[in-house]
Amino acid sequence: MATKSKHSITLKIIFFALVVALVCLSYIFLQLLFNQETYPGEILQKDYLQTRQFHYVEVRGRVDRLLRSGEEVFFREDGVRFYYHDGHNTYSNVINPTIASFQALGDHYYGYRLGRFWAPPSQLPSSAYLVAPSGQEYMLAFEDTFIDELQQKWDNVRRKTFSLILGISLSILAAGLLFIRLVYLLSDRQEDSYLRQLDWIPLEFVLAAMVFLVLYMSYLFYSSLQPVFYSDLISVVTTFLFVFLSFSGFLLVILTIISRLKRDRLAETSLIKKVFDAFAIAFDTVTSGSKRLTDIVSRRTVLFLILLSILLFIAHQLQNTPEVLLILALISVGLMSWFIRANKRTLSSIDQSMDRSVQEMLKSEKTKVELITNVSHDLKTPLTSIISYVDLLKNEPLNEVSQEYVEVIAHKSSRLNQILQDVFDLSKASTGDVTVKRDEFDLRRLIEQTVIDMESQIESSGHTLKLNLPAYAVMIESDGTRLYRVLQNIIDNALKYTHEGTRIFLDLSVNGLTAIMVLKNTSAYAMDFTKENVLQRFYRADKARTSEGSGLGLSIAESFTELSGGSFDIEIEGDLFKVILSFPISNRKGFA
Amino acid sequence: MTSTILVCDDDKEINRIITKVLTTENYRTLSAYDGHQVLELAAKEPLDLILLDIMMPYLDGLSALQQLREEQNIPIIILSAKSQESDKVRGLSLGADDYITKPFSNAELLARVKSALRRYKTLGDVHQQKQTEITIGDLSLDMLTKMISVGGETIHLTATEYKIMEHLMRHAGQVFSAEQIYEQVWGEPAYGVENTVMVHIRRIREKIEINPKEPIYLKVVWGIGYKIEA
Repeated sequence: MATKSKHSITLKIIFFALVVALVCLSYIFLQLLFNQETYPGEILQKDYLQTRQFHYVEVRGRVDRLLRSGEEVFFREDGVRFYYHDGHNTYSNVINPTIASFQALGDHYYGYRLGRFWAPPSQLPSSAYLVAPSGQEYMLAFEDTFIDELQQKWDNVRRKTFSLILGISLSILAAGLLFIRLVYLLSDRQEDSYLRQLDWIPLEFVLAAMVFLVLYMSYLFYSSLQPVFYSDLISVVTTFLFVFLSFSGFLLVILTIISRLKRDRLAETSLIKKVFDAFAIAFDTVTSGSKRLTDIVSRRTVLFLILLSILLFIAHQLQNTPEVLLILALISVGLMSWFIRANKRTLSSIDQSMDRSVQEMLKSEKTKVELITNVSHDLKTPLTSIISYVDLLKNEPLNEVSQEYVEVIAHKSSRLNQILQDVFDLSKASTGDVTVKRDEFDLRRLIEQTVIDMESQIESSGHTLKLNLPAYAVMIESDGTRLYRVLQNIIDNALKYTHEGTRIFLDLSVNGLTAIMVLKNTSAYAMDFTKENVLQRFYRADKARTSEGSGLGLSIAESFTELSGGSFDIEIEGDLFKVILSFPISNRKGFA
Repeated sequence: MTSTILVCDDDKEINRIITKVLTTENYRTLSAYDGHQVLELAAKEPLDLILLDIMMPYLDGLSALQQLREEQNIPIIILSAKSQESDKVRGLSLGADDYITKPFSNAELLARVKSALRRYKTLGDVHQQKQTEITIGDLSLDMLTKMISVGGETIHLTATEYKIMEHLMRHAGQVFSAEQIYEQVWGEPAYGVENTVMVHIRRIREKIEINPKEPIYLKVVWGIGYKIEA
């Protein structure tokens, strides 16, 4: 039923609008009703003479005016006769204003004369009339025609009131029914999404909005009860607009609360609950599990600081009452001991889990090294056969072409052996599973020894290596054998990638307490790579990877340098490739 | 008299090629493919040398080595793909005479086998050593004839090279810097002539070492100097 939901949306909007409209209508009716100025509850009284309104408004109202205004009073109403004596003068629109003459006018006379009240026997609610001040007298009488008019008016008011009450009841009834229907429509789970969008508003705000709207609507209602109000059209329109808007808001508030209730999310959307939940974790002493232990600690710290500041604030406010301060001190001691103990527990479980992960890491590193050791062993065994047989083959009488092929195999198998050894060394070095022997020696001497050791290699490469060493010994504390390998690798690398006809420079200098060795060469390739690339394992400057080497040389050099206590860096400036090694100068002896 | 060598490696191809290399040099060979076979053959046959692989089925090389050493004193060379220093130390401390890492070249294997056999066979002659001779392992230096031999083979050294060797062998185990060697050999103060010494030493290594990249006699102490292993 794909169309159902569409219908329901329109339907819901219509329903919503109708509910609001009906409520506004009943509001208007209510306004009108209150503006009738009738005493409530007298609507059922058909006879106007029996109503309190008649006595208070018609009779007492006139008496009031009579007594207050003295000689200025002239009742110009047809059918109302009066008499007023202020102690000296007499005012009346009756020629002979005796009691009898008033009584003769009909059954509706009211007065205070000769020290007592005068009224038809059946109509004397005593509180309705005023006792005239001493010396004053009054008398009032309504002619029957006047009474008839009043009765007619009263009948009109009653009719109007009844229809208003009916209108109010009907519109409220209709609004109520529509509202129930609307809620029913919204109970459809899929259709709830519109109201769900309001879930982000915390419940407290929703409730506050509800209270505010109720108060505001009441205010609007009462402020518009004054008859004066209706003289200003703009304020009438704006008031009704406000009523409309606030009731719409109110209805939305009710609906979102109902929607939350239905989905059992009322508490969840509460800001207080959220805050509470955020800090509830601070009380969590679970030693393991999915919760972030550091999170627990940090939240606990925040909570602790907040509580402490509150305590401090209270203490500041109540510094003149020592008893309270004592209690506060006790509370803060309790708070602190809770904070410390809970943190201790959490931190110790952090420790435990860290230990565990370190153990696991070590184990996995060990497994890794074992794996590589086994793999390299498994690869070396067949390689041994290859190398040995090729060795034998070389001694066989072969024709020239075969001899050449055998040379290629021999060369490649020894290279394979080298790569294998490199991989193995690097994996050992990078897992730190190596023993490092630290001796004090002259770095300058080591460079010379290495260069001489590699002399034949350097010569056959056709490049020139220019050494620039200081005249004094540069003593460092490091692992000579590993450093020899480092030098070998970086010189090897330079020999491989140096541009024809350029020289390779190897400089050693001392800067403060650091020995710095820099190997510079001009690259034969465009160096469109970064330092990170170079140190990446198996990275090769020539993308075709045709040249010799495993691509591990510089990685091994880096690992070994760091293992033997130095630092390894690479700089690329245009075509200039620089390897920079630095070592702390040994402080056992000075310069030799 | 031809020496009998037991070749023990579970890899048949390796076993075959070693046998082949050794028989070309007129050695008599026997083959074993696991540790148990080694022990059986060692008990039955009169052997002069055993080439022993470590990773073997049933009984590994190191265990076999331990058991062999309880009864036999013959040279045992370990052949292994395990190239870590700790592996070498372990093998040697269990009684192996030498340790060859796979892959190896045939020439290196032969050289080491010869060297081990020679040491074993001339063991009894030590007391006959002349006063004018210095012998360190396979290395021997005759101060009268000014000759150096490695495993019985005479090595042709220049006069300077000989002097350097003599100095180092007289003080075997001691490390000498290039300057010290220069001053000793040339008899004059060394001023920026260390390179000369280093070049000489490299040439000596090329002459006397089986594999100059992995010297066993004349060792480089990186950043310090050189020494002959005692």
